[in-house]
Amino acid sequence: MAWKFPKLTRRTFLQTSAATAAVGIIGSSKLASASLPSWSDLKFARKQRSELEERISYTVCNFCSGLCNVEVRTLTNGEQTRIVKLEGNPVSKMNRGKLCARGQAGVFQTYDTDRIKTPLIRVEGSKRGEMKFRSATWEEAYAYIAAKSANLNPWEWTIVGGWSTCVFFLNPLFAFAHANRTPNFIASPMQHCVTTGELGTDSVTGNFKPHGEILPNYDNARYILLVINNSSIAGVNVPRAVQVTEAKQRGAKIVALDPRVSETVAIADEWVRIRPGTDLDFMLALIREIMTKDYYDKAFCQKHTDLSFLLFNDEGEWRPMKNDQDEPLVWDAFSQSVKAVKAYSNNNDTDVDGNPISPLFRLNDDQRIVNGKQVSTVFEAQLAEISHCTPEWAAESTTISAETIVRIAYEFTHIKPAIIDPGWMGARYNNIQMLRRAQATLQTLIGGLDTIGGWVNSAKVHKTAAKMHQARVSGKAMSNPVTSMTGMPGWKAQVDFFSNGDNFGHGYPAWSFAFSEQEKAAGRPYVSIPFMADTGLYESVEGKLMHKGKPYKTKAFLAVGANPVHHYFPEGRWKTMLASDEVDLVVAVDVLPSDTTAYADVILPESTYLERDEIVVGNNGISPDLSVTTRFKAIDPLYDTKSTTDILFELTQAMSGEAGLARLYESFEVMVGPKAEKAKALVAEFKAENNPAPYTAAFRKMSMASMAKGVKTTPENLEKVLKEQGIYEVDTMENMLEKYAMPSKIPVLTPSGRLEIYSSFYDSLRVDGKTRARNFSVLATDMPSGVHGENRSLIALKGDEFYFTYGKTPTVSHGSTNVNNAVLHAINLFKEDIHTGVWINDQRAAELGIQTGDAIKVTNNETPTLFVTGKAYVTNQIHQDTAFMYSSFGSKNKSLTRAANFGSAINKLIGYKVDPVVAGFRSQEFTIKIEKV
Amino acid sequence: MARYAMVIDLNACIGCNACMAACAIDNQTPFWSGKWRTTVEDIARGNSADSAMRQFFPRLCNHCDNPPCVSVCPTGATYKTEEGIVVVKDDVCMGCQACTLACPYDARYAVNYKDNTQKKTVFGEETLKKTKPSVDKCDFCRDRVLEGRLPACVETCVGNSRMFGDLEDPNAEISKIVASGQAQPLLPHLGTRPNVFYIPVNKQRIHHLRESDPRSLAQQAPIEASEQITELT
Repeated sequence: MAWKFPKLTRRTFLQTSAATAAVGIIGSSKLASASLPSWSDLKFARKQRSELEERISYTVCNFCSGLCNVEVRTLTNGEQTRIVKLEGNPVSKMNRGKLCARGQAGVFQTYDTDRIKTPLIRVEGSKRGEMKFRSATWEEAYAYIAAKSANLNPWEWTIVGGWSTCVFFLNPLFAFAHANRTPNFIASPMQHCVTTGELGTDSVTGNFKPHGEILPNYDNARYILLVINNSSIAGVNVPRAVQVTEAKQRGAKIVALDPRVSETVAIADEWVRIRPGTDLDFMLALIREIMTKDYYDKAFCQKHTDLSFLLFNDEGEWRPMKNDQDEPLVWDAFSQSVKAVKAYSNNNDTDVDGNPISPLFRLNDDQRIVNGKQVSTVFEAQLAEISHCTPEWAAESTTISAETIVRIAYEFTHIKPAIIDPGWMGARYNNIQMLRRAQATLQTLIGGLDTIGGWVNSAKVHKTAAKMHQARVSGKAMSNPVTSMTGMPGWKAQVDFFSNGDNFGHGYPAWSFAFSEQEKAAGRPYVSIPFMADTGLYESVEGKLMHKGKPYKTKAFLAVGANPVHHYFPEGRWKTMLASDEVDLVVAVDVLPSDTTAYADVILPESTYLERDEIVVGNNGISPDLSVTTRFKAIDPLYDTKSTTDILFELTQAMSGEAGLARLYESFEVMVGPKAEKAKALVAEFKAENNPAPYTAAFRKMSMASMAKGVKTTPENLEKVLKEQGIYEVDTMENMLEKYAMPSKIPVLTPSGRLEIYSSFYDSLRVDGKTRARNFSVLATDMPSGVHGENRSLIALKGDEFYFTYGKTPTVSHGSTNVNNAVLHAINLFKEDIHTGVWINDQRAAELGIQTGDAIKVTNNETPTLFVTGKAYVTNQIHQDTAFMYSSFGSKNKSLTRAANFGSAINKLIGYKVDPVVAGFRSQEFTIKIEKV
Repeated sequence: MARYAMVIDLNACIGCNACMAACAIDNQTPFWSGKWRTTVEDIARGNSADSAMRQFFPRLCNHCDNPPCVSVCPTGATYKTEEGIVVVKDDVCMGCQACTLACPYDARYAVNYKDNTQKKTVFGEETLKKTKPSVDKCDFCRDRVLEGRLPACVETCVGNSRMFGDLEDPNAEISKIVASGQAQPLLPHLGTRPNVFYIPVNKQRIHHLRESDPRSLAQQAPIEASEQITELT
């Protein structure tokens, strides 16, 4: 058992926090306390540390999708054990023995006195949000949920998954949703990051895997171009940051486009102080420069891209020119004739008959007519699409000189190997998906895909892609497509799963898809693929959503490690929904109280990642090296908490009865792997042994056995190696690339197998053959950020008006409760001005008479009812048009003793606006007014 | 005998504050009172938009070879060990803070009674390293170093900015860096002979194309121009 820690009373804590607040950041280390010691102060602890035995165990960090490998040190006297230190696992090729502040401070999440220590039930007669809870037993809590569930239809439930859930429990949660017949599953990173930004990248590269996206091999790059990205480098993501700083120390040139000197920009060689929202203009000018001047890697582009494929123009819509076998056509320079190439292949070296060809990018006038139609190559069409995007044109909006753009186009293509960082977190403007796509186009043009010093797919993606390739060439379908595939085809299977109500036995698709159908039918704006997005939820709660003539209501919420009140936009929307009388039940599963748990009827406390074994013995992180890892619990749970898997199974029993539980075993078999019958038997065994986490234990055992089979060893040996060093190495990045590099060895995961500049993905989203909006353009194209509507951002803002930007601190995972972590909070206090202040350009602030520390009010000019108050941080480290806030702060739940009311929340300011492709948030599409108060 | 030292490459510090967290937890410092053995200052440089620069600046005890703190300590609680590490013994320290005033690097702070009481609950009474109130400071994680491990801040330094080693060992990486003069100590004129060295920021400064570069703009004929040339000839 563990020491019951800490024995803090509320009173002693308050004294401490008052002292901390008073000293704060100005507190000098030389200020000695003048107070006299109390008797308890004079009772010094007995030095017994040396008598305790040190033990080391291994786990995986839980604070971001970097998935760092962690070494846990505990001290034990044989009966009681305490975690004393976390380190990076030195064997790890990802984090290389290092952890960031969050990873280090993880131990203080487990030992946070504010933790939810027992199940809680909202007191009868109180309202959601009033935070009147009573302690309950697990049985009581489940009985409460079961009683309420009896009156609910399965589609009236909505599951909200947070990012940690998404990273570690995606497949189990798919199974959970399926077993409970609930098609409504929203995951917080989707509209914020994954679909919004990455989908643009992936439309070119074919890769799509939430948190398994491309990991650039920065280590070996000589030129690194960063575009609106601090979060995945110094924001901080250790597996990336260790590589970028190593590249820096090896002499790479780092160039960063950012309106602000972020932590990443601080180590860059060049800060490109770009106006917010204009990065796409910059990228299109780069593409135009590189294509016009033939700076691209010609051999690579001929062989592995669709740039030579012929298109014809059909009343303003580009369409691929194909033969009657549906094979793309190209102009071959060798034979001076049109040839067909394979419909699915990774290379264009030969035509369909095996004759060597050299496909042309630029056609002569006498080559323009093919099969009676006027044709262009994809290369020509793409260049024509952006022919107006000259460096001078881009200079007008970006405020960066044309010479700089011309020079960066030259450097990026001539200093080799180069990386344009794919970027993270797209949910800022309507044009971000297009921006990320332009970045992928640039990386394609230099041939830097699955190359040393270029973008490298993760080992897991490689393995799965190879399997899918084998299946495709042999004409077989992948079994369990929802969870067994990767890349765009895998994502498509997931979209099909949630958008088809037949998969859930009742005909109701996710309300987001029903809402899109309703809006489309009514001729209103709608979202094409509202995958795991919140669009339609509000209407469903309000009763304004109909499906096949019947109301489609949302009456119950289950938030698993999710805090939508704090990280969806705007704050009030979620409070209104959760507090609605139309909603019968709100269940939250979490470690710490949050602004969302405040609105729950029932709170189920989770064990932390240090208190539990992981059910998955799986692929190690987002790494190009293939290895296996898992979590070992370092201590028993401190409080009356349970492991996530056990909660999911027991909740299913409460929500959907014994039949639901039986279905969950079956869904697990289909979507996660372990055989249902065997799992049931094992759970029964572990229950008989009084194991406190029987479901976790059972699935862990089965996962260990099946992974051992996969890596051709015994479960005992696999477990032994994992216990001894945390990681079981299987294969290296170099070997993976030798076998599976995409596109040089196997096709990429686009429909054509090539890197697609003409996007068949966006082609598939045309409606009646027409492109819905610029977002859906089949070629990379120019579109405004949306801050000024249809106009470009050409004017310098004046007076009290600024562009609004926000980003991550290195000390807090976006929107998470580690803002309450004792050590991280102390660091945030140490950096209070910088971390919690609103950054304002010094010259503009001087005009307004604002100085650092002044109280200010920031108002959304588009929706003036949205505003936030805070303090100013005046600096020359930000573009003159721009203000910036860190997104980490402003939690309101008063049971977070450190985080509550510390700093200002961005979602008090950000309104609700989503893009038409995936409902990505357009969270910076407004200007703000800053005034002194 | 060893002479341990640290070299900090200011080009690679990304301001993640991992060192502060690692140190505070490993050495059980009263971080809740704003007391740290090491901090990373976040410094704004430049006086215009074009010269604006952000620099992260890690700070800690400099483990001077001529330490003023040791000279002034009346009880002998602070001294330099044979490995070259300046330490404080908590059961000999009387908390007068003469050393705190004497240190030109602001590397010391007092752990008062209240902090010491709080430490028991924050870190667990059973696992405390120091059990009494005293002046505290960085000791290069001496316990770890004697076990053959790196100081906590170095071990976890995400940017590989902090390097640690023995200057008596001529083959140690940091010995070469220090001997070469690439890294400089703080306030050397005080004669404290510090053992913490900094590699100053050195950014690439060539942000233009070379005039004579055969592929520079003027000479790299754009497509349109080359077509014109064809027509002329």
